[in-house]
Amino acid sequence: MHDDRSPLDALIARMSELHRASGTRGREARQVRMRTAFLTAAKHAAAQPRRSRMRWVYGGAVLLAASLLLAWTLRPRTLTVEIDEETTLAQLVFDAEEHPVTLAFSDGTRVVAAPRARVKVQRLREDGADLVLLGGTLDAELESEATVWQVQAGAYRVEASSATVTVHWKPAEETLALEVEAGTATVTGPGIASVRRLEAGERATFSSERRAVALAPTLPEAPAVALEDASAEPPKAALHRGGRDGRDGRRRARSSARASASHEETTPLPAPPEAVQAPATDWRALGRDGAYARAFAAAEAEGFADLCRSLDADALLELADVSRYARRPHRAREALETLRRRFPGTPSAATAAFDLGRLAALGNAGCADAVPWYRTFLDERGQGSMVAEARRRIAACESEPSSR
Amino acid sequence: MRSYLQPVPDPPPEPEPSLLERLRAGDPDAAATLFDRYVHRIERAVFGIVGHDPDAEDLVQDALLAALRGIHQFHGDEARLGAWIKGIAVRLALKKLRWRRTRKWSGWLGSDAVPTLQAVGGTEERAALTRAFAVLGDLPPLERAAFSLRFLEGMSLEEVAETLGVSLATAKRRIRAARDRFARLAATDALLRHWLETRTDHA
Repeated sequence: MHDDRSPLDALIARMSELHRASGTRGREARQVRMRTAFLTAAKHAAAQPRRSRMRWVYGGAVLLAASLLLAWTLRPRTLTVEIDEETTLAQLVFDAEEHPVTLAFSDGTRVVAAPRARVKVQRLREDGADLVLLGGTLDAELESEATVWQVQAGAYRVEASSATVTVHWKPAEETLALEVEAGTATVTGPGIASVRRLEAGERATFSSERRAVALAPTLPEAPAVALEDASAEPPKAALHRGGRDGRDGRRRARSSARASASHEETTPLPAPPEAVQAPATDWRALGRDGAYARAFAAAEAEGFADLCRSLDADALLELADVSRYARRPHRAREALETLRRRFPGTPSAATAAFDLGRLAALGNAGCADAVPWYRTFLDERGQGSMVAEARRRIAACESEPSSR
Repeated sequence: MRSYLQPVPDPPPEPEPSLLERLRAGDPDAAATLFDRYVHRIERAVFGIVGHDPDAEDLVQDALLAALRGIHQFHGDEARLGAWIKGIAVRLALKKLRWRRTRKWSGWLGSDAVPTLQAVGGTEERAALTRAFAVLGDLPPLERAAFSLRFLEGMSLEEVAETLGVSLATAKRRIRAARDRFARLAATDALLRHWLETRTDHA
């Protein structure tokens, strides 16, 4: 008989024959075998119906336990605060006597109490903390947008989140000065209709007695090069002055406090931007009052290069501060480098190295230029309150991907 | 006055509970009925898909047991019960094919089991058929299932579609694709190609 199928079809047909033959072969025995096995298994399954349900119960219990563990792990946690790497409790009052005290919070926020400041950590929350400033200056770098920080100073309350602010409180005069370097902050209290909001670059003074508010405009814009360098440096005059160990620094801090007090008694408004060009007589007094732009203009009018040649080390540090806050980083660098040349090996020279690191960190090279200065500072100054800060900045630089 | 007692009709007999009701009620005898009623079609589907795998019997049993355990999740009527169980069996069989294919690729498993070829006369034909079943094992699981059900098990197109739970058009397309792939793979096998060419010359 002739087969019209293609070879492939014939092959498939042959496979089918074998498949079916194999399936038929021993089918009865196979089905008896399968039936017995199935009925045994079915009986076994019927006898243990609860096992299946119990499995769900056990599974549910495990799931519940896992959920509870997860919830416990992810629960909102109250912040903690350390001073000198020791965990500190709330409700305690800290006196920054002659040196600044850094309060390091667990979310990365650092609040520095300037010398002679009295601070109380009123309450630690999951989303921030409430501080009471009993007197002096607080310098705060608030890291996280998810946290809200309150500083109570007398009847005033400053609230900020993700901002760099400096709060100065004089309890005797009930005067609050607030400077916002980055971000925004709000103030409520006597003499303020509802809420006063301050933006980056603004500075305001509030007086409870006079019910008056003196609001400084944003610092005048510097040339483009200067702006690029000085974009984010907080005004830490109080911290800086207190942060410099030694007699000179303490004297500067005291004189600064005196100068600041006299300024607020007379409540002059800080000069408008055009005042930068106006002549000024005493750049140091202006700088201590926080009128950095005017102070810098006065220093320039006096002759910046002459000042660098003639001032002592402490005054050169002040001149550098004024230049930096007036957003003239190149002048600040000039003053600091002159200091290191003229007063090598002194504590002031070491402090200048730290400040040069801070300036370098804001420049184009960033950490690459900053870290050598911080290391120089550490080499020249083995101890002191700024040592930990220098180490922290080096660690932060080294943890940046670009620096690896 | 005479009174007559009216004959009281016998109450109608209680209707026999259906298999589905008995299964849901946990009737111990219902499992045997389930097996006897559905084993043939389940066996055909499973053997049709996986071939003569040593685990084919277990697959049949697993499908029936799964149906027994999950009977409370079946909400259709009894007419649909067979199709439901067959669906379970097909899923298990396809899973088995995928597992086998993965194991084969990873080198953990050799060639697929082939039917007994003792009845095949010539050595050459026996070798060709062994290779042909090996080629069948290389098809993707869905195509292999369609191919086997249609060509080896001899199901109609409608039966293949119903067994695999796909539309008729999909079943046709899958069968065609499987046959084409089988032909291509067969052509790449030297022994099979030679055997097919020889047969062509004879034809």
